Amino acid sequence: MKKILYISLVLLLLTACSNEREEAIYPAEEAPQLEEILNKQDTINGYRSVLNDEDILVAIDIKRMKRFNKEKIEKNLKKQLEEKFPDKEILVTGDLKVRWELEKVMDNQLNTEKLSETIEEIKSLSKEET
Amino acid sequence: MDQKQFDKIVDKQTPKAPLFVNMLKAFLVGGIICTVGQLITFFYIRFFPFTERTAANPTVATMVFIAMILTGTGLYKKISQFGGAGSAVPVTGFGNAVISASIEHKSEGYVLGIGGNMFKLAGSVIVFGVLSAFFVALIKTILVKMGVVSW
Amino acid sequence: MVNAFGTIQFKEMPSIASTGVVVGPVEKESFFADSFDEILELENEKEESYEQANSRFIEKACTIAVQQGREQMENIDVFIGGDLINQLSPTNFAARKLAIPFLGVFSACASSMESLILGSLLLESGNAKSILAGASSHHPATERQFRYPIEYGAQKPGSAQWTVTAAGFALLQKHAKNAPIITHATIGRVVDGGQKNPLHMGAAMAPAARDTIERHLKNTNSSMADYDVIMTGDLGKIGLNILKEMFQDEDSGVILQDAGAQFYGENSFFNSGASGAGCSAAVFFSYMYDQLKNGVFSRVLLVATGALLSPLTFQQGETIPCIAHAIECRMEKRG
Repeated sequence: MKKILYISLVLLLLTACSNEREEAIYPAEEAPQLEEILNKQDTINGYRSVLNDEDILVAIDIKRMKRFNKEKIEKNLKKQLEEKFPDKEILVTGDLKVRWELEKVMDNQLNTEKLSETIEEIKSLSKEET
Repeated sequence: MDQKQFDKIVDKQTPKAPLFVNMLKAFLVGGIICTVGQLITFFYIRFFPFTERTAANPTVATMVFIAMILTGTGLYKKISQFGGAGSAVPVTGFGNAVISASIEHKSEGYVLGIGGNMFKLAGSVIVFGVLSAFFVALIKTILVKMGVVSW
Repeated sequence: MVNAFGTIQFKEMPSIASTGVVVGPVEKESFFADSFDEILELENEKEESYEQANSRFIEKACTIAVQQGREQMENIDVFIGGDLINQLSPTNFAARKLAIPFLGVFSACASSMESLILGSLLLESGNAKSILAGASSHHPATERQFRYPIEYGAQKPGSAQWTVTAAGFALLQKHAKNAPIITHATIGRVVDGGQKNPLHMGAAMAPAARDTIERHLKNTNSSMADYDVIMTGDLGKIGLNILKEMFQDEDSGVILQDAGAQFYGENSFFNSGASGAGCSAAVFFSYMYDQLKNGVFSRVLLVATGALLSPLTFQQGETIPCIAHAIECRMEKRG
């Protein structure tokens, strides 16, 4: 019984930190500067980004111990992006929901029309306060 | 026999609470409850239009609902006897305090019984929760104004 | 006749003619379960409130005691009883149903012996022929008054005790045939050991028990070895150990016993053991009564201990004063 406990504890500890970086931008090859900025960030484990003509949505996976500064990191990144893309509306968030929604967008390979619709939806979702 | 001798005997005969074991149990039980809560949060984020921030409300409601069923079936007090603070500190403990008082005072009627006694135990949690939240916010406001931390 | 300082000697030999003990469902697991007259399946069988259920337990126990004594309810002169609920309402309400002249007594868990002492005195003075005396307690009703709601998850320490659901009543008559007689009684003093923890009643009540036992032995010129058993009411396992250590008497190891400590056996769910006015009443009027009647014991001292606290006093930081009343019973073979 004790052995099982120890083994499972060790397994838990081992599986807890996998350092795979997951990066994706959709539509791909749209904005090389975006990729450049996002790759520079050392506070995140990965990101998903979706963009069209007006908006850029970035869902970042903040490193575990950096999550205490979540809002600061988001704001910081948003500022950097706003400097590069002054004509676009930018949303940077560490929220899981947005990340999952963006993954859905990527999996479904939405066309331009559907894409802007979904982007609006996600934007309103993250604005909700309560 | 004087008071000192008697106190000594009482001290000797009273079993010591196994502090370390109790803490371990509390950690395990509290951890399990919080893991269940996290899973429910993920469930709401995945399948409903809730973000990390907004999913907290339905999660709390669901946890209290589960606590209600466990309290009504008499399971929660057994969990508590084992887990101690591990089951008292999460929101399920708050739910248990409210629900157990309501069940208890049903015999005095709905208004004076349930309504009047529902927060008999949980009332102090609310009072001191609000009070401590006020002071924490005050301290943070001062620190932000002084420029030590940011919001 | 009062011998000396609180000890009464009964010359007219009041005797316990019969007893009735009714317990709740949890008490099925009790070490003494075989001796109880009736075990009910639910704590409140008719979907009544727990306080009403407590009254019904009392009525049942009284009826059984009267039936087993082959008496009629109308022939009982006085009904003396007590419980733990506010203003003794369960006993008062049971007395309404029984319609016997009634005296309500309160010494917390020592009420069982207090009512027995008063009953014996009434018999002794020749003012009554048949008396119903005893006490009761009801777990859910008591818990909610003294501690937390039943379903509230509060971790109980190892010193906590479990209030039993039980009512024990005895029919007292003069010179009943083949019945244990009450020879002496010692009225307790309120003793305060300076304890404050309401979840550690054993420690609070042990000094009171010691005071009463000591005075009884001194006033009757006897020693512990003269008794088959000296049984306290509800000190619990820890309280009993404290009491034994306070006596440091060679005989105290075997002779001193506790109804609360033995009530639920070694089941750790009940922590230190049983408590409540019903605990001492149930054990004294079933198991101990049977042992006396069957001649296993011939001289016993029954000491019921009570903690005189209310939820208000311990929240206001007061210590817990306690009391213990003792009754000496003997079984003599008389035709």
